[in-house]
Amino acid sequence: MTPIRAATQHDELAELFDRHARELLRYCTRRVGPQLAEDVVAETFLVAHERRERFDPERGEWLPWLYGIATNLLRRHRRAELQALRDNTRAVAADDPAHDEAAAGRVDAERSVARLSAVIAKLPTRQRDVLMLFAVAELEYAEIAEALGIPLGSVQSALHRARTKVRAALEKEGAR
Amino acid sequence: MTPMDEDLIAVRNLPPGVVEPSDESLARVRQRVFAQPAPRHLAWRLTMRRFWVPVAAAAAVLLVVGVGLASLRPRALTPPQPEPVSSEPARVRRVFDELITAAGRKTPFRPRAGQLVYQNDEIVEISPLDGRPFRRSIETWIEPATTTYLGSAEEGLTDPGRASAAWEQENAKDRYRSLPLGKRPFLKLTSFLAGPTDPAAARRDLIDRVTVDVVSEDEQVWSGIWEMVILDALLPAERRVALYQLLRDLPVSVGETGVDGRRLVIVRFAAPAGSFLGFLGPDKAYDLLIDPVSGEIAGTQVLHDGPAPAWSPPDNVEVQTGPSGLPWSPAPLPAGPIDPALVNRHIYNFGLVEDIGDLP
Repeated sequence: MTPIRAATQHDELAELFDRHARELLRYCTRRVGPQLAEDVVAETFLVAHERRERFDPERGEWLPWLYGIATNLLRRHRRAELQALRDNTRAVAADDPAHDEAAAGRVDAERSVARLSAVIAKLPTRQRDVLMLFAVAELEYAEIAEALGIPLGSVQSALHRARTKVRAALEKEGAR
Repeated sequence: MTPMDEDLIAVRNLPPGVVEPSDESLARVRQRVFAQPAPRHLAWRLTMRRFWVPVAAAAAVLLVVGVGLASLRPRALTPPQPEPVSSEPARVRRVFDELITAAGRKTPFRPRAGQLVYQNDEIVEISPLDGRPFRRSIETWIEPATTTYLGSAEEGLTDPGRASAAWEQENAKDRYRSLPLGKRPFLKLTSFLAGPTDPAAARRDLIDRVTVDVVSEDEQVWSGIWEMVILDALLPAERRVALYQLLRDLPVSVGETGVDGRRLVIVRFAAPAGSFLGFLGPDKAYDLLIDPVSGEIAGTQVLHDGPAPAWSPPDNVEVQTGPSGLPWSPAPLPAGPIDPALVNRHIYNFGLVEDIGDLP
């Protein structure tokens, strides 16, 4: 490979990185925390670079494809993600009973967080991925379908089921 | 349905929330991406139908990328070129300006309750069996609140149930770790890591902690900082800035080296007399290796101060054993750019895990 060709690949990868790395890092940090997120995002770009021949520009943009790679990599850290969600549930158990209205409000908010975290932790992997790509990454249905390599109808179905459980958890808390 | 619906907002706002990544975090990721070997494939065809940017805007983006890459000096697509060590004051100050700036951006690990710090020590050293360099890896799990070493494994944790036995074996061999906690001046890193952030107070604090009459106060400061490398990931940013300011004001020289494609700054203390852990004699050079992009202390190295002595077979060869207790022979390094003066090098990587034996 000539130095000029190597430099071109470097610039192309750098451009892709500059365009999308921050967004991916924000998303992955939300899911697995800052340290693991850095690992995942770095590996995402390396995998994308290795597999760039497989990317079909006729099918869409780079970003959903990158999210798809990141989602697969995030699954390796499923335990860390679930542990973080479970930590949210444990924090409430340690709270003392509320003694005034402000404290009661805080405890209610913490209970809502705990209940919602528990629900999300129990979601099947695909439902959780779809929910997070929609709610946190703010991808559209078609982009999620492209990222995960699943039919659009599967995205809609998974999202509907996940949101039903989320709303049930929030409504249960609101009824207290 | 829109991303602004109440349930979606609740999902998005679950702790820890959606946090904007720091520039420093992004820089670390960038360094890791561009530290890989040059790609083997043919030209990357950017033929995206909707890769769209108008020509003028594309040129502006590439210009910004070029400036950004130049400022980060990502030399990793070609191996970093070593720079000779120099004590020239202007150069020392310039290098430390860069390190101190990076130190201010370096966020420490913040372990949650129950989490352990995972430390991976990648070691390169010279085999006494054949005089050739070889690599080995030691993994350690550390309780962060007390900096207690809970478990250790070398070349893999073959039997998690025997982790504590392996750890005890390692502690029994290590003259430093075998000391009770109360008698170790440095391994109580909880207060040490959270020490003064004013440089003058930090210097006084380190000297008071070390208090070795036979060496200079400067070396006592150096010794204290050398000790912290093993738990660098927990070092608060303000503390790190103060310590790098102290380093700058010591009799040090600076240079650059490359380790596995990663550019590291060498900070070398002049003429140590031997007060710190890892001291192997006065005829050697002792280096801290600091990553100028991430701001972290990546590790340490020891070099022969002059031509390496000719290797000769030792009279008695200690058979090394792994965690299983069976004889273990470390794998020799393939031929590559190892400094012939190298005595040993330690590069540390860290993570947060839930239990002994877990990997990040």
